[in-house]
Amino acid sequence: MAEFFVKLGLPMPWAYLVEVFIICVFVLIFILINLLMLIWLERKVSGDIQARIGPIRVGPLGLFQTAADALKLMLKEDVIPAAADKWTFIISPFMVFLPAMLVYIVLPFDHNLVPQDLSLGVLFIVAVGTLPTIGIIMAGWGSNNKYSMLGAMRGAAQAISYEVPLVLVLATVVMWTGTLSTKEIVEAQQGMWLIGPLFIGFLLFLTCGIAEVNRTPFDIPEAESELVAGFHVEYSGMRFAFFFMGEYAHMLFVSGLISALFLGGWHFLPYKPNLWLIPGWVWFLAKTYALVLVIMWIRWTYPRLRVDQLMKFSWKGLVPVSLAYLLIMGFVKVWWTG
Amino acid sequence: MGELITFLALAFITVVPAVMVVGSRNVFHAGLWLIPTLIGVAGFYLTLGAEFVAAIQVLIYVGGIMVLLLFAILLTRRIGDPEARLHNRMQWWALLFALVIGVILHLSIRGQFGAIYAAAVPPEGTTAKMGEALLGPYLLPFEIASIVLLAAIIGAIVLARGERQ
Repeated sequence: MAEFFVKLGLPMPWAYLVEVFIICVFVLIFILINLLMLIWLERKVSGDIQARIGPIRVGPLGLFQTAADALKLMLKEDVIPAAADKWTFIISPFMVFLPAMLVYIVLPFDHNLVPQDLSLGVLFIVAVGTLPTIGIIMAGWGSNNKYSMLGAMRGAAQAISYEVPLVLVLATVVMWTGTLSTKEIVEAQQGMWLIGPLFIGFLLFLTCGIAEVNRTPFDIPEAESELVAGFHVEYSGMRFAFFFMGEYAHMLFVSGLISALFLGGWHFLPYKPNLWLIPGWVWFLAKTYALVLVIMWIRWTYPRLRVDQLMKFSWKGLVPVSLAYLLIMGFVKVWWTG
Repeated sequence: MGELITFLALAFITVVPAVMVVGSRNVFHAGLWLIPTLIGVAGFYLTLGAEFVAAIQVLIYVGGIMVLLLFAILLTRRIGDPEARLHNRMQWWALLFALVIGVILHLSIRGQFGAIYAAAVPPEGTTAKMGEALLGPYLLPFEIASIVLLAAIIGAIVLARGERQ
């Protein structure tokens, strides 16, 4: 696309910047549309699991409930606590939302539909994916509230703990496929999805992924029953909405990443990559939403872990297992390829 | 021209927050100001064609060390207390030492690489080459670095455990 702008007479770095800007706008639109769907879906799923009906009033099946809520949040008064650290308080929602949006740039929707196929795709995801933690710490400290602070401390500790096994599993995937580009990882799965040879890795990644997006059973940073709402107690209106959107965008991204890394991305079935003329992104989105449903199902079924259990589970369970797994899969890979 | 603008923008992102880190009256703010500085340095790596180093810079420094640093700051008392003194009277000595170190670095780098300029087009696939170099000719220094880290980890555990009755 950058060549097109160069033809229009823009010098090179600016043409590239315009291209990146357009990609970001499209990614943002995609995320916002999906967020409306996701939040509605979460309410319907939780309703079903708890034997309620969920939203039904606004629009057919309550489909426009989220839009109505968004309007409500926009019209709310913008409250900044008097004792808050003003700029830290203001910036932190964006520190959470922007990285959650930025990682979509390397998500492979289809073989010709990757917003930007970076050669370092997986590393980019890991690097940018660590930034929201800082946003959570900023929110916790900036609010000047004990509950926020506790939530932020827990959030930071949890993010650091679960990042280690997550990166180790990603390293296993990269080692197995021999590439860091998300697109090439999906292409390497023609014939056999990685969930076959790397099934334990898939389970580890799903667990760490849920922990990274701070959802039940790993939602101790906001644990309503202990911390009111954790790091975002003091936030309301649009500032709260940014945290909320960041969480859902992150959840959708983790599901998309798992479907790209382990479930064959845009391939229909391992031995049959295409079905009629249905484009590949349909399969990608179908797998992503299937995983989203699994994550929601887990959230509304299991209770929350305690802080010490959570830490023990990561450092004494997931980290050694994923470390040994990386080593074993390395030997298997060498043995396999001869 | 575009290169110069990029350099100046990155230099602004790197240097101004760095000054704020030193000048800020609040430890937490000083920690936060480090983030744009570290990201700006990653930007410099990007303009030099070292994408891998840039990604690792963000991952290790912003995602790892900064989070731990802020975490440690949150555990200290009197953060954000304007009465707490963050500065001592050594600013002129600090400036002198910074200048001396800067001159030494400049001279040694000029002496070592003065005649070498970066290639206009960076080589393709630097990540794979770097991996091969680390596990090939530079295996020994790479492993020695990991022994240093191991010693640090063991030291931290020993300190955290304290005396056993």
